[in-house]
Amino acid sequence: MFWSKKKPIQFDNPSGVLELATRLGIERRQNCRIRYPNFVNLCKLPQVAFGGTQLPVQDISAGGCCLLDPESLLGQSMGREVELELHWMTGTDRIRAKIVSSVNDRRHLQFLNLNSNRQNLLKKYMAPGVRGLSVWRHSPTTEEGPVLQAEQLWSSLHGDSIVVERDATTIATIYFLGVRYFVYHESWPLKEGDARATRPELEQLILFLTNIPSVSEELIHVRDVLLIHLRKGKA
Amino acid sequence: MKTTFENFCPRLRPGRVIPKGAQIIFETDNPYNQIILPMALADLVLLCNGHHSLQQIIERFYNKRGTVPFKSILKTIHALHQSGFFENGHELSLNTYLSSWMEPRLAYPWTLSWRFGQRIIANKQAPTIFYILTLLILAGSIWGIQAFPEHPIELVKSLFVDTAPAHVLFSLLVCSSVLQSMRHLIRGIQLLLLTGKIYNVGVRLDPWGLHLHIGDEANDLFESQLYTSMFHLSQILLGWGLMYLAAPAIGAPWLGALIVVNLMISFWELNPFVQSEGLRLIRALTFTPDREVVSWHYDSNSLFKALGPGYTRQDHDFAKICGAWGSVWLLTALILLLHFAATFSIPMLTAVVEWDSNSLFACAGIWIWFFSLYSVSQAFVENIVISLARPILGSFQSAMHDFKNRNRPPPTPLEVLAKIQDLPLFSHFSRAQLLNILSKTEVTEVQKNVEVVRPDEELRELYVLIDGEIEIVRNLGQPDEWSTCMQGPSIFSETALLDSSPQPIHVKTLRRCVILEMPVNNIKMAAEESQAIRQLKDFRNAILVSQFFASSPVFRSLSQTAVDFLCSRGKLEYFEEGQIVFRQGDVGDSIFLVLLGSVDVDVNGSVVNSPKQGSFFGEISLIANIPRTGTVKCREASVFFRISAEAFWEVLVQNLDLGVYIETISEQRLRDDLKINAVELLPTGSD
Repeated sequence: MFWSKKKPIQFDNPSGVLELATRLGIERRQNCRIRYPNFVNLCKLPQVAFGGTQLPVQDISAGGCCLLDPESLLGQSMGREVELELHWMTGTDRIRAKIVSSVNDRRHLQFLNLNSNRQNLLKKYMAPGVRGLSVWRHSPTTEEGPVLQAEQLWSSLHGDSIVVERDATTIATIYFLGVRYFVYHESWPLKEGDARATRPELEQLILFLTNIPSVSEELIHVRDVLLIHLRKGKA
Repeated sequence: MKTTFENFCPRLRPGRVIPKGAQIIFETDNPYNQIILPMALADLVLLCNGHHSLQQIIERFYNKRGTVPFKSILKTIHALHQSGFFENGHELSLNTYLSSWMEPRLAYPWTLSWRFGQRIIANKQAPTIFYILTLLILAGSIWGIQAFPEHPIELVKSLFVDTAPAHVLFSLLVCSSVLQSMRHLIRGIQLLLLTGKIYNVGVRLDPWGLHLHIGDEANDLFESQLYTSMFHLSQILLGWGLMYLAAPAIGAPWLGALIVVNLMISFWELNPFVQSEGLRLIRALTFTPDREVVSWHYDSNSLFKALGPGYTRQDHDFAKICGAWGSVWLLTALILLLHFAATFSIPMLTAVVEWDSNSLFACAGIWIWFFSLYSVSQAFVENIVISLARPILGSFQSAMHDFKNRNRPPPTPLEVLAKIQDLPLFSHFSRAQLLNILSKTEVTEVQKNVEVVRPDEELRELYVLIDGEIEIVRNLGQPDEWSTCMQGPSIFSETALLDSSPQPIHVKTLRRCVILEMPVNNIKMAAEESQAIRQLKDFRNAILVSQFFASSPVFRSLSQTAVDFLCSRGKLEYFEEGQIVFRQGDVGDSIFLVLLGSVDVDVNGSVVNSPKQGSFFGEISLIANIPRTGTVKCREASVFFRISAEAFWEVLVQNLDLGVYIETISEQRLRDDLKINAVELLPTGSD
C-alpha cells in the first residue's frame, strides 16, 4: 500500500547481505569476504578440509577462501585444481577449487562448482561479519568538549554499536541487529531484559567483532571474553 | 563578531554524551535540554569543543566518506544551533544558500516567543495513524466549509456593526489565539506521528494573538510527497473543521469572529511570498521525490528570477506556479484592501475626526490598512511589475548600449589581444603568434538577433566573442536540444578546429556583439609552430571544459580557484560510440563531466538515465563509497572530463552547497538504481 513503511533490508537473506555489502562499499570483488575466526562451526560457517586434513581458514567468501597451508598439502602451483571438503552442520560437500594465488603459507582458492544454494547459505551465515566490516571508532573525549560516558565508542551507519564501558563488572554493551547485549567479565552475557544470550547469538557477536577494521586492544579483549564464555559455556 | 559557516568553531555547552543502543543522547547540565542523535553522528558532538571549525569536522567525516551524508551533518548542526546547544551560536552566520536550505525560522520583529521545548523528541513513528488523522482533518475541514453557518456575511456584518469596537478586537484576538493554538497542537501531533520529532515548542505573542507554537521545520516530510501534501493542505484547511466543531457551542458574534479569523488564516497561509503552508504545498507538489531536486531550498523572495535562462525545468515549473498564484494572491489582496477602504474609510475617518472612544481603534485600523497596502504593493511591484518589465528594460538597455556604441571604432588589435590572451587556446601562443593571427583576422560587429552560425553551413572559422551576448543551441529541433547563453570574451564554434563539416549548431546574437572570425588554417599553422601545442583536439576540448564550468548550472557557483583546481586535477577522455566507460560493480574512483556526446546508464539491463552534454555521471560511487551501480555506455562519440575522487571531495568539502546538491542528485539516482537492483536481487536459495 502506498502509505506502508518502506521495507527494511532483510539481513538474514542472501540478497539483503549482498545489498548491504554493496551499500557499504565492501563488495569490491565479485563476492565480499570476511575474516574467519577459525572456531569450529562458528555461525554455521563450514570447516574446510583437503584429503581428510582440516586446514585453517583465514577468510571466506561465496566465491572462494584463503586457507593456511604450512605443509603445502595443496601445492603451490597457481591454476592447479583441487578437491575440497566443506563440512557443514548438515553434511559435507565435495567441491572443486582452483588455486588463484599463493603467498607464503596462504593459498587463495576460487570455488569452481559451489552451487548457488550453498553460496546463498554462505552469504547468509557471513552476514554478522559483513556488518562488522563497516564499524568504525568515534573520536575520544577531548579536554574541553562534551564528556563521553564510555571508554570507547564504535558504530556503523546501519545501527550496530559497541560501547566499551568504564565499569567494574560490565566490559561492553553491544547493540547488534536491534538487540542490546551486556558483556561481563565473569558471567555469561545477558540481553536487554535480563535474558541470557544464546550460543548462536554469541557466535554472531564474535564473527561481528572479528571483522571490525582497525580494531583496538579493548575490543579484542571483548571478543576474547566472548570466546572464553563460548568455550566454557552453558547457555 | 559573525563567522561564516565553514569557519565557525562550534563549542557545545558543558554536558555529556550518553550512548544508548544505536543512538547517543547529548544532554547539558540541565537534563531537560537534551538531544538524541544517531550514533554515527557522535563524532560531530564530540568534536564540538571550540577548537575545530565546521569545515575541519566535516573533513573528518570526509575521511570516512560515504559514512555520513553531508545533509545529515548540516541538519544536525542546524538542530543544535536552533536549539541553543552551542555556547557560541550567536557567532554563526549562514549564507543565503545554507540558511534557505536549512529553513531557519524567520525572526519577525513584531514577534515575542518563549520556547519551553528546545529539544528534538525522537520517538517511534506512526505514519498509518498520521494518514488516518490527516484524512479525518481534511474530510472534517471540507465538511466544515460545506456546512458553513447560514448567512456568514450577515454574521460578520453583525460583528462589526452591532458590537462595540473593543469587544470586536477582543473577540478577534481570543478566537485567533485559540484557533492558532489548536492548529499548532494538531500540527505537533501530526509531526510527531509522521517524523517522530518536533522543534521549538513554545508560546508566541504575535499579530495572531497569544498562542501555542510548534516550529515549522519539517524537512523530513519531503520523503513522501503524499504525506507532505496532505500535511500542508490540512494545515491550511484545519481552521474550518475546528470552527464547525465549535459552532453549536458559541453565539453569533463569536462565530462571526471565527469566520473572519479563519478567512485571514487561510488567506495568509496561501501567501506564496512567505514560508507559508501554501508555498510548501506547491513545493511538495512540484518537487516529487522521483525527480531531480534542484532548488527545493527555494528562496521565495525571488520567485520570478528562476524564469530566466540557466535554471532547470523544476525551477521553471515551481516559479511559474508560484508566479501565477502570487499574481492572483496579490491582486485579490489589493482588491480586498481597496474594498475595505471604500466601505470603512468614511466611518473610520469620522471616528478619528470626532475623537471619541472609538478613535484609537480607528487609528489602529488605518495604520494596519496602510501597512498592509504598502506590503502588498511592494511585493506586487518587486515580483510582478519588475519581472514583467525586465525584458522590456533589457531591450531598452541593449538599445541604449547599441546607441552609445554606434560610432565607436572597432577595437584595436592590442585591445583584442588583452581580451583573448587568457582564453584556453590562446594562452598557449606567444604574443608574436597572437598578433600574427590577429593580423589575418576579421573583426565584425554583429547586430542583435543575427545568426552567426547556421546548422547547414561549413565551419571554416573559429569565433571569439569579444563583447556582447550570444545564444548557442545544439541539436535544434531534436528531442535532445540543448542551449546555453554566453558572454564575451569566450570562444565558440570550436568544432571547426577538427572538422569543417556542418554541425547541428545554431548561434544567434542576443545583443550587439563584437566577434572575431579567425580562419582555422591560420590557427593550425600557429599551433604547428608552437612547441606547447601538440594536439588541437585537446585544445578544442580545453575550450569545452572552460565552457562547461562557465555555463553548467551546477558548477557555475564554484569559485574560480575551485574551477582551476578541478581543471588541474581532471583529464580529458575520448570514447567511441558503443564503448563502455565503466561497468556495474567496478570500483568507482572518479566522476565524469560530459563535455560532448551522451551516454546510457544501464542497471541490470535497463537504461535508467541518459546524461548528455552539460551533465555528469559516476558521482554515486564517490558519494556513497560503493562500486559503480550501473554500466555506462556511450550513445555516440563522446568526450568526458574525468575528475579524481580526491580532488572532487576536496572541492565538495570546501563548497558545502555544491556537496549538498551533488549528494541530493546522487541519492535520487541511487534510489532509482536500488529499485532496479531490488527486483534482480530476489533470494535464489534457502536454508
